[in-house]
Amino acid sequence: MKNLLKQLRAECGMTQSDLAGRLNVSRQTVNAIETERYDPSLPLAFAIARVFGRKIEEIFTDKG
Amino acid sequence: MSPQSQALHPMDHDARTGLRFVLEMAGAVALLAGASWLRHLPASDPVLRTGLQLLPIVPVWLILAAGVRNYFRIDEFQRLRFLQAMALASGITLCLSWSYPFARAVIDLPPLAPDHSVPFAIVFMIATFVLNVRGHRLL
Repeated sequence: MKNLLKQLRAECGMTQSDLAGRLNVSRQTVNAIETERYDPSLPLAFAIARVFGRKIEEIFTDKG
Repeated sequence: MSPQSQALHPMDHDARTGLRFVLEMAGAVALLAGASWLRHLPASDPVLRTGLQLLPIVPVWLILAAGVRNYFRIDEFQRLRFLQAMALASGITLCLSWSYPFARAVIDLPPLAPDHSVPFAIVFMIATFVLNVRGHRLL
């Protein structure tokens, strides 16, 4: 999946560590999602969407 | 810790889980070392002697408990990596133990120890490292 996580995080002026703290995950996990090495579970995707006040489909899109 | 204080200390997640795991594991290993040492104490009472002989079993299972507790503290991506490393290490250790007798028939190698825990631990650490560096390309 593609995602806008890095872009949204930058717009909010958050570091990866800040976001990781908000999501209660490790910074490596945020990095893995941003670099598209890992697709988050639905609960984590919902949590990410809540942090940025967006819908999941606005942040995550299918690669195909 | 409340969500608010987590937000105030966002970098604490890795350090917190890592520190807890290291402390629990170090405690269990220290208990194992102590219990192993106590086994060699002379004891005339047969019940005490049996107890001392069996004592190391407790910290061995505490090591597993420390690992399981850590598993439930880490996040989903770390769990995935951990499980992948376990699966890879199990497969590699199994194949090594199957391959070893064939290699031993040709090369002068020492007999394989019946306890595979040390080779497994080494392979697990290597697998974890490789997955962390190249996991996204391998799997």
